[in-house]
Amino acid sequence: MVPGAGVEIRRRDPRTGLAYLTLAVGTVLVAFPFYWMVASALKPFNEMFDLRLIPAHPTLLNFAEVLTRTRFPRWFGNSLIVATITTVSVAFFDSLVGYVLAKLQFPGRGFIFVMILATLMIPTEMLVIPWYIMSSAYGWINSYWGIMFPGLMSAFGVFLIRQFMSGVPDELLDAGRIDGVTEFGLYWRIALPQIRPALAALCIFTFLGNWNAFLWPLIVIQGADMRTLPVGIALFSGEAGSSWNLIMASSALAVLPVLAVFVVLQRQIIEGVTLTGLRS
Amino acid sequence: MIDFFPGGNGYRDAFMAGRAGMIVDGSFAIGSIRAGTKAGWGVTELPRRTLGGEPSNFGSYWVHGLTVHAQGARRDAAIKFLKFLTSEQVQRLWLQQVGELPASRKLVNDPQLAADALYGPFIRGLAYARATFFVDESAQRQVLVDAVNEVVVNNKSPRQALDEAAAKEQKILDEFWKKHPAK
Amino acid sequence: MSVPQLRLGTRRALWAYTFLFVPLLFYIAIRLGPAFSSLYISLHEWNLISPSKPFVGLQNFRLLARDPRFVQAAVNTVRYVLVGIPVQMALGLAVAVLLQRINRFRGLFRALYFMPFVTPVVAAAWVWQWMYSESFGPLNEILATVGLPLQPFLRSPGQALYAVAAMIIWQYLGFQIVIFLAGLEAIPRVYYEAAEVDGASGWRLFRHITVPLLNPTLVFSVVYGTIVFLQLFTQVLNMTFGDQGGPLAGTLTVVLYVYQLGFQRFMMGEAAAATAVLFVAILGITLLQIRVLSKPVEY
Repeated sequence: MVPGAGVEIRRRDPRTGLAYLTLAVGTVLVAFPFYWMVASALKPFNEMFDLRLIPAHPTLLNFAEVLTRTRFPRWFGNSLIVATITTVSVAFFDSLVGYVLAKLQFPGRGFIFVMILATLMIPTEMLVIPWYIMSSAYGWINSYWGIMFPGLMSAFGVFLIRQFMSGVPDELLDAGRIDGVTEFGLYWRIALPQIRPALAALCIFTFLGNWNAFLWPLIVIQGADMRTLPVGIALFSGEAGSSWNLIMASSALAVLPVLAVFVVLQRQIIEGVTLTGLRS
Repeated sequence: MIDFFPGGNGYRDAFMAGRAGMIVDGSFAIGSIRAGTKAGWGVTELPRRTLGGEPSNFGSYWVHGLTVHAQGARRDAAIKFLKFLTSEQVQRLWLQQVGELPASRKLVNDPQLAADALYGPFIRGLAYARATFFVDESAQRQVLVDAVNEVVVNNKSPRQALDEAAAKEQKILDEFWKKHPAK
Repeated sequence: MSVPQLRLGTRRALWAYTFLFVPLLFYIAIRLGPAFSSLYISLHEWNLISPSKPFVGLQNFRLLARDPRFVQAAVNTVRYVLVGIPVQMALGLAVAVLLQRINRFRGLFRALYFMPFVTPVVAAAWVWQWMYSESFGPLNEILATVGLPLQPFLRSPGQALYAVAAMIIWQYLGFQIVIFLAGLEAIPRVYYEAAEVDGASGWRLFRHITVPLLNPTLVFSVVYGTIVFLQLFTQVLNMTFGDQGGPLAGTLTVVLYVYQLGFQRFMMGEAAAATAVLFVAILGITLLQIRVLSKPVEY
């Protein structure tokens, strides 16, 4: 069979047109909640219950009200702080541990790896009760440290990085050793740059995970000022009654920046899923 | 409870928007109803089950308390703060600004307040109001929410739903008092 | 010669443990320790407020087994899995196969389907709650326009679970598509070409080549999806905010019930016992995955 022939046949296939149509219809269904959210966020309150698809008198007042009447900017900042610090911490410690477990020979290596891997099986829900008791004993409730400490490292990241670190050639490290590079330098300057795509994927998913985290922040946060974005939106929406214009505006304010980042990093994020998903 | 408008206060929003003619609500709603309702409205006491029958009302309130952990200077400061909160001056400010009933006997007995068209019925209702000591507030609340849903969603008769709710509530109370015998 | 070698080994081990010191502390104090402590708490009557926390053996597990709300939560959680996984996988696989058929806009379609996966869950859940609204929601408006009867959706104990499951399928569909696409691309084209020469086409190609060769991806997808559904919490709490897990416990999940037991009713012992049950379920599924995946795939 000529390699180009198959493509030629497929192009003429009427079923390809059907495929485009089906995919397009699916896209409309998938995108509808986003459209509904933005359209409703632009409606003044008295139009909310008309259920018009296009706002008759679009307004930005809902956004202004959410930004000024609630502590939305503060919650956004809290989420940014928490997600950034946990991501930096996970990236550093997970890659270090992954490197050590893949590239250094020492007694207890297998045991430590299995131990860290075993923690992957423990669901977060099982840990929140002891974390809460611990946090109230040490005064961590309602603090950034309290929100962040459970996410500072991730066993999944260790597992992922270790796999990629195994692919770093030993000769590269040995050459570094001969050149007198320190043990930390071998990890930081030689091994780490080799696994950049995996590290980038880990960073993106750690950031997203902490940006979206809900159960533990809901438990550990007690004051309105410490809320992260998901907790802030949930509790604000719960109190907003039927001011759905404000609920939709606050949702849109939370969703749109993330989608903007997604549009920019789309390729890396989707490749990251393939990379991490298939490795686990 | 009922989906007049989506959201936790849908019934009140429906009243404010003129879609519901009558609602049962607390004195804490006066502020928002006054701010958001365009039509004329008024307040009255809860009806009695039979003509001339026994009046009944439910009184709920927040309690500001001291925990056993509060000791020494913190305890003294807390007591001082509570005294300040319940002072007549602060409670009057509370009533004017927030629009909720004050937690002060002196103010509640204030004849001017009792004669008020909005606050008056709530104050008269206090005379026969009963408060409940919640032993497990979230579970007890769930019992009543479920009972309402049994009627609204599952078409159970109100009588049966209420009887079942009473039995469930009694079980929660019994279990609590079995564990914590009253001193 | 052997002495410096030993020293080198010792030195390297010392470095390894220096690097591992803080992480080991973390995994022991924040992960393993609390897991055991959770099991310990599950064997005690542990009310957060009361100072005495007596050992009660397996009583918390017995209480759970007799608690209709927990039983309902467990049954619901299994129903979420049984409803959600097949639909999610069928849709994911269908879209992935369609995406493979087309040459243009593939990246665009893939990105659009993937959007919900990166969307903040809480915000999305509130949008869906509004869409499902009984008398003021767009879905019922559409039903009314085409002349179908209005549906109560989240207000009905019978429908609410499916309504929530639909939102989660929407959320994870893009993830499944990407995983399936990668799996499909890994299947060598020669298999299809050989089968086409033998006269096979369409459904038979899919049934006898795609599905068997996609098996590891399918297993991963089932296990990942199952673990997501077993830990369902955020979506349910936010979509049924006024009566969380309702109506009449119709959407209640094990994790939401753990939250209510532990952090609204302060019964930490029973809550911890419920998480132990969840742990066993997740462990079982993970071990099953390892068994299935370690079987060699026969082409």
